[in-house]
Amino acid sequence: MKHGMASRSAVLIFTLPAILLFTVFVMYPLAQTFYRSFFDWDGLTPGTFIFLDNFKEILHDPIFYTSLYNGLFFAVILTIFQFVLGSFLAFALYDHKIFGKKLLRISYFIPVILSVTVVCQLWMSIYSSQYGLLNKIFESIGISYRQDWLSDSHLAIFAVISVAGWQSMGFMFALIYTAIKSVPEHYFEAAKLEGATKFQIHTKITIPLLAETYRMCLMFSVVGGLNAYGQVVLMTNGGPGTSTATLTFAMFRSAYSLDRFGYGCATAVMLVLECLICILIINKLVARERITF
Amino acid sequence: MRRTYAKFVSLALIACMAIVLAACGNSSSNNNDSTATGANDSKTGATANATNESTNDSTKDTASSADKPAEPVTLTLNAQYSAPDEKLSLDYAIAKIKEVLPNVTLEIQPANADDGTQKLKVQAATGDLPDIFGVTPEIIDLFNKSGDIVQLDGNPDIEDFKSKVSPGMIDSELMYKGHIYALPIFGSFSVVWYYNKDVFAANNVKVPTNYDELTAAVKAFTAKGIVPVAMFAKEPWPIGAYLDSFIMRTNPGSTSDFSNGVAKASDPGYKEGIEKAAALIKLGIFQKGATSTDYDSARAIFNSGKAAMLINGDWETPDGITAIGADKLGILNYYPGADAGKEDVNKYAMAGGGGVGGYALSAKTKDKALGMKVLALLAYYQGEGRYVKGGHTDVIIKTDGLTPENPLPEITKALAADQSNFIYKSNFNHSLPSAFSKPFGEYLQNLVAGQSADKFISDTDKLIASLKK
Amino acid sequence: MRKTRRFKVSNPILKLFLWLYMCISLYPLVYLIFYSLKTNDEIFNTNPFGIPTSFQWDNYVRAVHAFDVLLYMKNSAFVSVISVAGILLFSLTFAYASARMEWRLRKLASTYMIVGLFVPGATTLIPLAILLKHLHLINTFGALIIPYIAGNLSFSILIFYGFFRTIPKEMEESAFIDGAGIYRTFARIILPLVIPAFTVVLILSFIGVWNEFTIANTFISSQKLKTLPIGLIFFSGTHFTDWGAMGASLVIASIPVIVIYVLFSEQIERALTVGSAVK
Repeated sequence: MKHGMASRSAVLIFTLPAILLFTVFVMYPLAQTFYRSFFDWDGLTPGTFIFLDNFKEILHDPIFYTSLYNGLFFAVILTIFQFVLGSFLAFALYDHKIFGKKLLRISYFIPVILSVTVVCQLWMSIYSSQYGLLNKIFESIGISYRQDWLSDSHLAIFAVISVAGWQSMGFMFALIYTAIKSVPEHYFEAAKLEGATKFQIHTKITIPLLAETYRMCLMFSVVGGLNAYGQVVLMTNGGPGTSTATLTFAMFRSAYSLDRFGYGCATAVMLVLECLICILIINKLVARERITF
Repeated sequence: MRRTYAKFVSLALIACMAIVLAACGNSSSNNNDSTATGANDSKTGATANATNESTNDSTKDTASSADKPAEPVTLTLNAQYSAPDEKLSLDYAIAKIKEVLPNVTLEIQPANADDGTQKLKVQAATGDLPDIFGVTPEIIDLFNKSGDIVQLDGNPDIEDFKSKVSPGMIDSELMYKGHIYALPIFGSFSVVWYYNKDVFAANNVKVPTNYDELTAAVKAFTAKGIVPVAMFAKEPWPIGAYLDSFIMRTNPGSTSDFSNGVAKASDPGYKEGIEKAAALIKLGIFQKGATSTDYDSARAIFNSGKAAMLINGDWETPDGITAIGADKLGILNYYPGADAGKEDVNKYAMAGGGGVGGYALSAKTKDKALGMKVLALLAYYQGEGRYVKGGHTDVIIKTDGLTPENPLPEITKALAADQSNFIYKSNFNHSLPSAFSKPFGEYLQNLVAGQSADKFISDTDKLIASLKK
Repeated sequence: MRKTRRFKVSNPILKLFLWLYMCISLYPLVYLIFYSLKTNDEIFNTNPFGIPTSFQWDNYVRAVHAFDVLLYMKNSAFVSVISVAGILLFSLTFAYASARMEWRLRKLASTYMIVGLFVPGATTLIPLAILLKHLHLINTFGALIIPYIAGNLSFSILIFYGFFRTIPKEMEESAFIDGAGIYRTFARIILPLVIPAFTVVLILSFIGVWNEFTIANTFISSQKLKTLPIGLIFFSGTHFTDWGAMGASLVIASIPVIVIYVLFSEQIERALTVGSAVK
């Protein structure tokens, strides 16, 4: 009998169901989308084949570029926010003896559980220039700076990104915290015995050991940022104008508001390509060796 | 330890079984329910039973004539059914239909207000459209091409409905490209400028009748920290209506002239209107953060007395009266967009309008004759319900002979008296073809967000030019 | 044993920050509960952040009457449980195979499965709809469960993959030496080690499926099969939205998720402490 780890039948049994489901229900519709991007299609009637015309148009479309930049902002800021804050909280909670650690841990994750509708509703109230919390806080501190957070064509996207970051931070926190906890204690003990400070322990030991986890988190936040949709629709509907559009939003706009499904599919293709490139880059650069304990 | 393995395997089995059962189980339970009709419980608004498949079984015998519908029949209806006034009028209509056709049950599929057409389009693609559904002209065009919608003219029930429609609205709202495809409930909505009499009086500001007075009012209010006009610019259409208030004084066709390509934003008359509107925006006519203020928030600002005026459709009147009282609520007689001395020019050109749309019949419905009969009854009685129960005068059917349950408020009567003079040469932004209205709506938001009038004009011109091709 | 230096100065500030952030994280829940007990006017205008001036319990009454909450909740529960079971089962096995077993197409297969991450569910709505139609799944639970499983596989596989890579290779080798087959090894040795990841994925996929709206709205029209997020439509009219009642139904919808989360996070803690000790 072949070595268990290389047994053909075992591999098939383990992988086939996932591959099958995925291929039929995700890749096949995706392939259809790719196919349709070469057409001028309204979603219902047979379309006309126009080959690369949709793509040529996209490259001249200002909304595409706005979405591209917004997507990149989203990905970068989301990553920094989640990584830094998530790691900070995870380390802090792991290291210190704090009363009510469990409560803290549970509550950091709560925003993730809430439906995106609630979170956006809350933040719209906070950002509101009429009676919003943010402006009230500025008022009470005495700063005369006010802002129409969601109405400023240049700032609105950052306001939206903050909401997304804030909500999904809990998720990163959970992953990082779980990962830290899986590192066997003796690694830390050994380092402490040598006289390392907490800071040194974390930068030299923990973070490198967590490289695999970080790589995974990086993929999530980058792809999540590029794909962002829900918060954009609920908070600004792409506005003011189209200044907060993301690629997914642009896709929906073309497909459902303008009945240009073919063009929408082309936008989707661009999105998938963009994500693919990012993932390939991440794979190449981060955590190439296997790390085990 | 053996348990873990066993758990694992049983989990797998359960999962597989469940998936199979789920898929099969539902189709069989559908067949079981085919004999039950179930009551349409109007309070909860949802019937918990039969679907299209049951209609198949039960109408097989009723095939031929719609004159003797003896078998129970269920038709699915996609309609707005969330706001109180929607429920009121629809329940009324359904009750009336029950009286005429006791064996027919209408099962409501509530439409999602935010993107009702998305679901319809997917349902059309999979062939699952409800029997009756709400349409816009674009959907009519789309579904005509794909053969999903039924042409209604010629049918006796439909023609009967047509005879009950206000004559002035037949051509503008019932007929579409020479045929009838949808039966509307609403006639024409007028967009009006509501104002709070107390706020004006308390601040010693004259209720504006022309542009100069409006500018003065805006300056006076902003100086005192009162919002001159509450605006929900999160949606583009009220901005469009605001713009119309200025442009229509010189060019009644306003934004639909842009949409049709007969005029440019930089043309005389239009240009000045845009500049006037933009100047007031720069003076602070709207509240801060208008582009992220939604419908309810803006109305709340007006209803709480923090704003002097509100631009909205005339359906707002009952709510406005409830909020600030009939003695305080007023409607500006005419848009204050004209230059001084020209207040009477084009004073009846109104923003808003009606437009083709309403309930349409799916081409895949089992019994077309019955469908059209129900459609005609539905459209008529929902209009009647809206007038009689809700006190709204914006219905398309003739209302003489009908008495509303509660006496109409004064301002509604005043508006209704003028109604026969109103001219609607344009329409709500979202009723214009989307190839124009979607980008144009985005430019409107940019204008409110602080962009210059010149950029707005050049963007609009580019859009108009690109659509002409 | 020498004591390690502690940053005594930063400690209280640190703790303060942690507690502050906890408040910020919990506030939305509080906000939601208040929201469900206010009138429309209070929500937007007079009192958006504070305690409701008078508790509008009839928001809840309206919420429960607007649609059959129990039925929708049952449907949501059914769909979520089955979907999550499927997701866990299939992604676990695939991730294990691609992380630790030896076969030629391993790298390719894992990259292939990750592609699903880029595709937000609703991008492929129409092709998916047509596919489901051909399989006669429209208006059945299958139309929800199968796309939910398929769509969440990428995400779960990625998480499990990451965790599997941290388990030393020796684990299987020692089991084989003892004479165990691959399946036994998987079930008895490997599985217990990934319980933390398992629970994390369980919670996250449950949340994702429970709250999912677009697919549930488009593929299901029959009243009997609707899930909880769909019930929310009942509250927004063309011009008017009953925010208070919507808030009430959101509260009702969030309770099961919170319960599941609190229950399972206990599991994670326990498993983690055991797991690291074992190693």
